Amino acid sequence: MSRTTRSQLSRDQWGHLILTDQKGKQYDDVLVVPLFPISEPRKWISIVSADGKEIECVEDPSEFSPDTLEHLNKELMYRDFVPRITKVISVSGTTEPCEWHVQTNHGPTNFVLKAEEDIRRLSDHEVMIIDANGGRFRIDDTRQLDKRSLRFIEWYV
Amino acid sequence: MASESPVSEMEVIPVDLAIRVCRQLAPDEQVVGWFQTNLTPSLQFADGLIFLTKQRLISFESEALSDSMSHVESIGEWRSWPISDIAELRLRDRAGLASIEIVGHDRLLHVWRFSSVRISQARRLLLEFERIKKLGSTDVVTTVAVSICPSCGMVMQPGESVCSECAPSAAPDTTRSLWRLTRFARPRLPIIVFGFALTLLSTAIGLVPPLLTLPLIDEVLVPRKHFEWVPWYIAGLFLTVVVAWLLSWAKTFVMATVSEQISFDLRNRIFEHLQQLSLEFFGGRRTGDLISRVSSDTERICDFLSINLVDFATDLLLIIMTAAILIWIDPMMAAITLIPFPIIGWLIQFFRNRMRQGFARGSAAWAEMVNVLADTIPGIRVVKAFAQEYREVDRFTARNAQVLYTNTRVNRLWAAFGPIISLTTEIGLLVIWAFGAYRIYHDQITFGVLQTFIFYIGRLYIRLDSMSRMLANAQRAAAATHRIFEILDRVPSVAEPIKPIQPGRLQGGIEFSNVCFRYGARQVITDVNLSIRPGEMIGVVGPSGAGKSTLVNLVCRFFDVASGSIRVDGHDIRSFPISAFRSNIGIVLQEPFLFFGSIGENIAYGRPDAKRAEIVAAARASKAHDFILRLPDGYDSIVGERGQSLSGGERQRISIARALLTDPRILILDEATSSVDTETEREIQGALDYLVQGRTTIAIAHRISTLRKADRIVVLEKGTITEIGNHEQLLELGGTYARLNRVQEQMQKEITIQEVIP
Repeated sequence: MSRTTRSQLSRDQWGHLILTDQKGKQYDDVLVVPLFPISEPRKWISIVSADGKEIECVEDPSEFSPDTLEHLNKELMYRDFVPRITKVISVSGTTEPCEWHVQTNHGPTNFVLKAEEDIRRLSDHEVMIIDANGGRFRIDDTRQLDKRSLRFIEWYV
Repeated sequence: MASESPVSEMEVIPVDLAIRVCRQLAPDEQVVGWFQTNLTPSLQFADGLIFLTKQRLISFESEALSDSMSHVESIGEWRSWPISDIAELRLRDRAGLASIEIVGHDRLLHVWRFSSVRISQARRLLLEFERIKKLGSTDVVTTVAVSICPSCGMVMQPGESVCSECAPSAAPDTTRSLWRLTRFARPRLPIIVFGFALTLLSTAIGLVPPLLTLPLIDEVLVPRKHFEWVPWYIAGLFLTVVVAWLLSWAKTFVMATVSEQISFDLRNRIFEHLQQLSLEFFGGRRTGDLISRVSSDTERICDFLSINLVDFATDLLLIIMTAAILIWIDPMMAAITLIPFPIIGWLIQFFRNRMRQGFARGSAAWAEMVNVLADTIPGIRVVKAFAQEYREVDRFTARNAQVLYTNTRVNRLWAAFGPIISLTTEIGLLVIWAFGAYRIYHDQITFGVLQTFIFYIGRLYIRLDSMSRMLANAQRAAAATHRIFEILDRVPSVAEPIKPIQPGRLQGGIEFSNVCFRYGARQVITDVNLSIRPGEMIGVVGPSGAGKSTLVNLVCRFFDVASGSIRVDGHDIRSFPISAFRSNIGIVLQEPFLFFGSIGENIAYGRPDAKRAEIVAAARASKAHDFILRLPDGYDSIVGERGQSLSGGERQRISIARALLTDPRILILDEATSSVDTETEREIQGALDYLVQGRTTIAIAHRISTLRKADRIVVLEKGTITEIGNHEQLLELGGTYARLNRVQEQMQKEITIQEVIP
């Protein structure tokens, strides 16, 4: 499918994302939803209307025009805010709930870990943490962590 | 299929009896069944025999006490009845005493009594009798229906009411059970030999220090000369201590590693085996029991191998070596020293036994208490609804008190144990002191010898205690081993064909011919004949317990038919390799089970290599895509036991997508929509309608409304097909289907009215 026939994303003055489909029909305030946010975050993007109906689903977003792609990536960035933990500074205790103080690629932060199963291994060295408020943190490669940080993680996985 | 020849039956009869029986028979008469009773008419235990031939029923009955069959001829009586005179054989079983009654056409002809232990053989005889009665002649080889044991899933012999596997067996023989573990030890033999060599060495080295202190005392300290040797002795002692430490460290590590490896093998083997066992094996067993067999039983064996067994070997070696050393130093002293040994050993064993019983009682009480918890906590809504909280508290308190009581009792024993052992040990030492002093006084031994003896004996007594502990652990480990082999010894009752036909991609035409199936003593499916065209949708309705689910389980080969056959594309399904055949089948169950993992993985469960595009397409087709979109992690959302909670309808749509992705030729819908509300049902129905297109479908349903798309509907009652046809035909017939339809429409109306008028 050539790029010209692809639908376009743009932003209106309200900051809403507008989708213009191939036939020129416009959808106001659409959402960009990655179908596989963890296993393949940059592909399989679904564009959903304000009332939750899927309008379009794209396997490979690089088919979009550069403008649209930029809007899309920016939107995905907001949608998919998952700080990468680079160092665990301290953990308040060995029993949940406990407060974690961590260094991430977005800067230092704290979060509360509610239960043991909220830390889960995605693959051999990949770990995902969901905090008490549903916020997500990831560790891309536990081997990159220092020994002390790794010890905290290894309690769980 | 089990066809039984009379010859094989005869083989089981003792030879001398067989000869006697033959004398009773007419030249052309052939024994087709026999049964051994074990009671006389006056209820004395004595063996009797009943024979069945095609013409007659012959019996031999002892009248007097006779425990040996060799005497029977002199004191028994032969009788016989022509088959034509017998209207019926009736089997009764009342509280341990069973009987077979021969009922004639106008009166009761005879009664035999026997203890219930024999009931399964009796039932076999009855089956044979009915066969003869029905066919007139047994020239036609009929097959006796095999049955499946409801509790363990083993194939039961015809007429057996309890399968031989489930019959309570005697307590496992400790040594034999443990011996079977060697099967798993064999691949690790080199490292095991190494470990035992280390054990031997470290034990031996532990015995060296007293041998060094002996000359130290006798040559240096007591005569008060050669003090320049002391540093050498001390250095030697230090060296042995260090070497002993190193060796015992190495030994412990090596043996722990080996045992961990063995239990790794065990766990893998059990799990692999469990996965291969046929479905019915799991039906009668509690999940918890199986889980504990894989996890805690292997753990117990691991502990036993790594700790107890090594300790035991060490102890045994130590005792033997010490005894040898003592005898070598001074045989007389050794005799005196070792005499109390068996007594103390026996004492320890006695106490340990009593304590073990006490602890067993304690853990039984504990289990009872936990049972109350396991009962009450999941059922808390019922408890509260009926306001029975206090009763449950009382129940718990009673059980808890039992725990306290049993534990107090065992504690009394336990508290006495240690002191008693040390008392006897001290007395033993005193005896050595006394005897040693006497011998030193008479210059028969040196002071060094006495000191060495004291040293060795102190160690030995400690070892005795740990050895006795090992015996208890050995019994426990043997029980665990037995439980594990119980699983490993089981053969899947759905057998792989010897000469498999590769099914490839099936067309999907299914043909049931004379299908029968028994589950335990219950005949579930009787003589079902049905032919389904490729791509046809068949709806199955009927009351619960009619055998609907069994019918589809037979198609899936979760069970095998007892007699008759199911053919797909003209081949008996038993001639296909099981997994290749099942890959042609898709199932949507009433309660969709999702595994722990992402939604994407769950949809791709039947085809892990499926591309994302296929997963998304399957989800779209099953109307699951829209709600998956709304989940925070989309297709990567974790579901399953500990994951995101999904509604019944959502889970069902995922399971439909799962079935859709494998693109099965034969589709089974087992009440796929009965656990959801009408609204959700309508949504799922849309997904299902897409799924069934072009596939041979067997759909079981409670609600007739869900079968509106079915080409034909089958009404199954008590295991047989009573009505068959499409919706209109069946309504016209005015039978069960029409009645069900009427009732359900009525109910639907009432619901609608209730919804309108709140």
